[in-house]
Amino acid sequence: MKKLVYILFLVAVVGSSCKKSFLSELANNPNSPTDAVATVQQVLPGTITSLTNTVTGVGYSGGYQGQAAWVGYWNYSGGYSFNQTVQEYVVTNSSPQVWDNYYGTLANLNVVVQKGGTSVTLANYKDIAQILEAIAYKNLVDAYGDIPYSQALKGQANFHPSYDKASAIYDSLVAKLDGVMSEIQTNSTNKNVVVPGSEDVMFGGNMGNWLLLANTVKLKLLVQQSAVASKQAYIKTEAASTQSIGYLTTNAIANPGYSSSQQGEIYGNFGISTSGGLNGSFNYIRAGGFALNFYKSTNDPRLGYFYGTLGTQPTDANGDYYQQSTNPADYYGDLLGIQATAPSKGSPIGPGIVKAPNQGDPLLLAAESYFVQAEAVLRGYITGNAQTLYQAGITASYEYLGVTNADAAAAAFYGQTGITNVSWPAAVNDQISTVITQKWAALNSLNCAEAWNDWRRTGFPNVPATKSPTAIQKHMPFRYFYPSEEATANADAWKAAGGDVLDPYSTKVFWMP
Amino acid sequence: MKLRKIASLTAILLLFFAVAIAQTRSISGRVTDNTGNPIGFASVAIKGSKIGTNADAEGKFTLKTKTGDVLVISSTGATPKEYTVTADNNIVVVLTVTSKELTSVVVTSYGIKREAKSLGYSTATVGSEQLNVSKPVNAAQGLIGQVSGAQISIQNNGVDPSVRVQLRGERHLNADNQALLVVDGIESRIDFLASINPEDIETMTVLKGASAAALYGSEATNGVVIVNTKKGSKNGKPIINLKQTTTMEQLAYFPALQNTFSGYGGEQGAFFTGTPYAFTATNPYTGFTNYIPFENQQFGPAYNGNPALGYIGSPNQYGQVDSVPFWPQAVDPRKAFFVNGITTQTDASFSSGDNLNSNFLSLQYVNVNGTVPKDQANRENLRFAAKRTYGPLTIDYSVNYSHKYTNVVGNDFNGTPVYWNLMNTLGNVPIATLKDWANPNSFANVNNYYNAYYANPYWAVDNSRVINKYDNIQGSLNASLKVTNWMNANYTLGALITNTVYKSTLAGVQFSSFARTDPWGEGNYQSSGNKPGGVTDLTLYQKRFEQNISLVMQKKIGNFDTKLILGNDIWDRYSNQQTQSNNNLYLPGIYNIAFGTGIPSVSNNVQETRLIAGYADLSANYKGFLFFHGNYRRDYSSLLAVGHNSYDVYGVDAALSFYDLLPALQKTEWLSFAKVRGAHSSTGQITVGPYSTVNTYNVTSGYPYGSQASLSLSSTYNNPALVPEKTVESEVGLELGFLKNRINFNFSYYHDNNTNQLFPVAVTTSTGYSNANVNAASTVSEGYEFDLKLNKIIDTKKGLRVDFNTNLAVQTTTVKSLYGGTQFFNIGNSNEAIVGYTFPQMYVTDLVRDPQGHVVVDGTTGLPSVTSTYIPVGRTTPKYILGLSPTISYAHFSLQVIADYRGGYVFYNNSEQNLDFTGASAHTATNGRQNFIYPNSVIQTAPGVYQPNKSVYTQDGNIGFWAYSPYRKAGTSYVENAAAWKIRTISLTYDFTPLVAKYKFIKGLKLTALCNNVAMFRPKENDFTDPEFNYNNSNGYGYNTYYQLPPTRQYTVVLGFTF
Repeated sequence: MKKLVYILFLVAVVGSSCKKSFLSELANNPNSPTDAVATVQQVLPGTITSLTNTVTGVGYSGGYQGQAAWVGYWNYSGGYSFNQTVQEYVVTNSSPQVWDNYYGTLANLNVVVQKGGTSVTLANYKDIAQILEAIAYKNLVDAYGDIPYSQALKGQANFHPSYDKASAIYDSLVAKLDGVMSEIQTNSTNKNVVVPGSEDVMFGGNMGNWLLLANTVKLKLLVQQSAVASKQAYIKTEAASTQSIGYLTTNAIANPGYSSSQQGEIYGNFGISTSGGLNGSFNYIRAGGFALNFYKSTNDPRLGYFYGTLGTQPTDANGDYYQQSTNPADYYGDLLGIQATAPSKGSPIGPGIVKAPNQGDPLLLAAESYFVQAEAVLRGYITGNAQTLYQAGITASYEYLGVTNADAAAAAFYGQTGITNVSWPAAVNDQISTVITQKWAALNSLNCAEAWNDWRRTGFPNVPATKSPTAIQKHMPFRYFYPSEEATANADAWKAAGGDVLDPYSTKVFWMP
Repeated sequence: MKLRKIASLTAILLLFFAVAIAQTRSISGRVTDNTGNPIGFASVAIKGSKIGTNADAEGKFTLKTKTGDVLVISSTGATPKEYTVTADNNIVVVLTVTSKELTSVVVTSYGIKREAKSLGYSTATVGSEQLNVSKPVNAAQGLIGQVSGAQISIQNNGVDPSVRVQLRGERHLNADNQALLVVDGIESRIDFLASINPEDIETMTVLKGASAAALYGSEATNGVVIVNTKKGSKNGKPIINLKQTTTMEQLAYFPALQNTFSGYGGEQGAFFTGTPYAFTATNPYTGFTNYIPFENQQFGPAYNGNPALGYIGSPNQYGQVDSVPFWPQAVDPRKAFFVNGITTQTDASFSSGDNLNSNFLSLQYVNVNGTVPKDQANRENLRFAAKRTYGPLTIDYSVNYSHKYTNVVGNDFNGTPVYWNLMNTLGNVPIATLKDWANPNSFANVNNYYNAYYANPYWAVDNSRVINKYDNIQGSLNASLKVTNWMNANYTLGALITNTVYKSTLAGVQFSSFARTDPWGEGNYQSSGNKPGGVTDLTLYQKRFEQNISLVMQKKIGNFDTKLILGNDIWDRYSNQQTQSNNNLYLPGIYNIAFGTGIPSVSNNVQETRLIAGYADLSANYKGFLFFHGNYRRDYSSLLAVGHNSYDVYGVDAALSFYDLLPALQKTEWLSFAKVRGAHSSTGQITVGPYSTVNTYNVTSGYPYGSQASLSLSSTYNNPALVPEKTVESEVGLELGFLKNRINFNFSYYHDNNTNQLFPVAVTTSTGYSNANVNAASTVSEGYEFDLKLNKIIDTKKGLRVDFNTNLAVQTTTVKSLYGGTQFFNIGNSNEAIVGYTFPQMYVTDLVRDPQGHVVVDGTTGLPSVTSTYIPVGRTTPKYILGLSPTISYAHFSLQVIADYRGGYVFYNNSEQNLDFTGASAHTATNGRQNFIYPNSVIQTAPGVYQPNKSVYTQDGNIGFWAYSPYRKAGTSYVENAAAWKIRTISLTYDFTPLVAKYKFIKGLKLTALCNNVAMFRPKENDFTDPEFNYNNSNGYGYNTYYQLPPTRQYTVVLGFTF
């Protein structure tokens, strides 16, 4: 009898520990949402800020800041070993790189596009994502040339995406933007289409601004190809169609709600940290002599906004923190290749860039929009008054930086006579070089890649070669290397695209002359 | 599916219950040795008939017989005995044992006890005494040198070093390669060994290969370490053991440092402009560098006692400078920092009982004070175990509670570890006098400290602490019911619950306005601004439950003794980790995330995994000389997607005892045992974590901003198509005993084919992901193991006895394929898996060389250059592991030595690479800091033409070479032979027991003096550290950094009483 009791006890224990869902109920991750849970509203905000962060590219190691030094904006304070690479124009398969940043953003933009699908209600989200996709792909092409595009972002369906021709990607982006713009225009009166709210951390759901941004990006894509002789007719036709929609006149700035405790990309790198100390990158960079001297020599008050006076730094997270000076001798920067020995011996980044802890980060500035339009007019792609657009670009730059009495100061600046690359010249060629040079002057620290693009496309401004005695290369690279992961994880496609033979100092992106 | 399985098991149980009550009477007995310990599996036969049986593992047998029958009781390694049956129904037969090794019962998977001679695979059992020779705090250390094929690596010094337990090398590229731990039949985490009191362990059995462990299914491919704890005594008398252990720990091996050259770090220009310490970095008269007293790098002029240079650091705000002689300190300041560590262990245990009922209670308190000031750890263990027999039912259970506490120094406010700060100390700095960091006027203070770039190590000792508290409750219950003479039903339930509380605290620093302005233009650490305090709190709750039910049936069928086991195993593992940190604290001394500015970072991670398995295990013994064994198991796991989540595990093995087969052999004097064996198994393993088959989204970095949330797609592609990995192992072995088992020899060869390995293959981000979980990669492991036991090499009548045990393992794993055409997979710590190479492989940059391997230097600068590509330079796990343990006893003395050799592998001496940078290593002074001709170098004179370099000196033999040249950047400059001979332990015991025998109250008294880490013999190129130390406990081996402390030696005295 005793045995029976024991056995029944065992059976009871065994039986109680089993039920049907014993294994399957643990299939779902309790820590993170799956695809079924995530919505476009939740995915969109991060794509806007991550794209903006990459475009702004303030991350000092390996990102865009190589270009910031190349085009003369910045130099590096002494004692940090990585600056040798930058000042020698060295590019490698690990630095500088923007591949992962852009494709990472594109993977999430693709989620928004896929989830939007053919749904009319989510059309605006899909359209916004496609505009951002165009920016990301354009910037990838500009840095790398041919890249995975039509076969990209397919996950397990294709772990080895082949590369598309850069020029064809440009054409595809232009066509996609056309589709997006016509959809936005059609949907503007459709009450069934959801208008994004705060999750649109760029324009707060203002689809009119997205339309202008899309059109401006399209114009940029076209103007970028100005040196491609075979595409001139195409460019003119496509550019003409942009005219009726108009272009961005406001700054496209991403700001999901930055504050002193949660800072954006620029302020978070160069401002005052949450704990009251200096953020990490402030002491790493110092003024590049070429840009600093340009502002000095053209009597440009932006000198004191792009750069700080020697030895100053932001001291208060919430108020005015730079000591401004009207004496140009208080600002100093060395040319690239001449190593500033200590942080105190060069001007730091200035209060027009590092404004306040709650500042947003720019994706595309109105100033850039105006300069692109001015160039398009000068090249005969669109109609308009190039000089007026040029002046509007300078004014918008002054306004962004917060220059005192910005409009008047800007007018006084561009009203100067006899100053090369400031005063409006008579010859069209000089007008183009003046527009590009002032575009460069306006994008300092705000979109360094665009300045590098313009130098590669037009040769303006004529940035002096690095002074580094150890530099083997005597001019800026023409493009980046593909990242090492392409050579190892996507080797066949990478080789087919010439990844194993390219020379970044002579292999040109298709739009280079 | 599984429900039906349980139901059918239940039916079987009930069926046999009916049989049980129908059983008739017979005599039962027990076979023991002279000391009362059972002799398992002894053969019991009725003389002159074919009727007989085998005793069980406990030596118990039951046999139908009648008065007057003569029973012949025999067992391998023991003298046979005859017994005439009387009216007594319960008999005890005592056999005289001739060789203990061969009669021993081996506890295999799920507590299944098998006769050693019947095993077709390799196992090793280490008893309590052997395990505690070195009196280790962590039981894993007790296995070192004792078991062939076991690589026990201590990863670092310190108060609670991490110990890695690996059997037969590494086979998984991306999964843990450590053995599975089983405590009293319940699967556990291998790191739980650190929480077990080694004195509580009765035996530790090592199932080396997958074949031996196949019954454990998916987690057994790396072998199993089975711990069986003490359950009380058997001889009816209560025993009290008391033991007091005291250990002193001292630095034993310190990196070779230079003590010739003073501070200079490549500075240029004028620094101090005021008197009396005005100087410039370059001497205006000689052109050579001057002494830079605030430097961490040591590339300055040689110390010469010049009183004018008798200072360290830059002047403080009062213009004062710390004054010392311009000579290196008498005791190297970098050694002077360390203190003598003291470890005490107090053990008490009480055991009592007889063969039916017993109990055991033990207590242990361990306190460790480390060699780094204020590093401390302690552990309390309480275990209660008991065994009760109620007729056919035997129940044993144990409950163990342990509390472990560690408190060690953390990184300083610059994020650097203490050892690194120490290594950046100049030789003329009396570091041990700079403890008064709290005094704002002291030169030890953060504002006045001499070193402009690295903080005072004493600051971190007092202000940066990492505290861990672990509470473990582990318990298990085993019930065994003898249903009939030939069937037992077993039930095991076990749980391990661990609560870990981690807290790291870092004090904030407010630098003085004077120091912050960097008055001397040094670029000092103070100029980067104040550092806020920080705190991280982590709590981790882990819970494991496991239940095992089995039926054991034994039957003699013809000439076969057969045994069938049917079982079911279910486990559930749950963990919940909560982490919160705030690195912006504003109140000094308040380490609470609530008192910080900004937003604290918080995270939570819950994981739960379950497994259901059914298994069968059949063994057959043909006439005591031929043994077959097979097992089969099917696992259902929650880790993989339904449809892929079940898999089969099976193993077969056989053993043939020639000795028992051939009577001619039994007549020889020289041979006492001979056996060949073979095993083959196939095991599956799932090495991905929970939830690895469904894609998820993460919180986008930086978000939420206010009410704005954002999600981002995870960068890992989680693959629903994943299936388990597979390991197919074949093993053969030979076991021989000579001269009445005075010489025992054991040989094994094994071959593992590990296919379908799961790992996150790197994919290009243009796919939308940065890595993807795939089934790919295969490796092949093979090896040889030799065990040689020489018993009584010397055995004199006067009592001198010498035994010698030695073992050797040769192991190699080779990568056969990776994912697709991929040739490389990064393991971490500069280790790589490379197709066609042994795994893991050190993979680093090299210097440019000519075809003959000479380093090519530049014809002008005399400097080598670094290759842009990486090369494989050698395996990072030992190919050869040799263990030696001689024992000498004479009268009341016994001396035991444990030594081992590990060789055939390399390690990356990253700490030397860093100390070359700082100019602290002796290495950097080999050429007197003068320009030199790079040894054995060549110069390329035309493409492909190389001339020996006889005349071109390096353009700099000082900082320019040692800190900044390609020589220091190349990985091969620091890859060194990791081979080492080590005398791990010398232990001398004096047994006072015979002397105290006349006193009734005491049964035993022993005094032991022992030394651990007695000596280490390394190749000349490694003048730094213990190559066994590793950066972290991972598959990436052989990477020594400044996060590992210098090796120590321990002197221990143990006084043990038995009452």
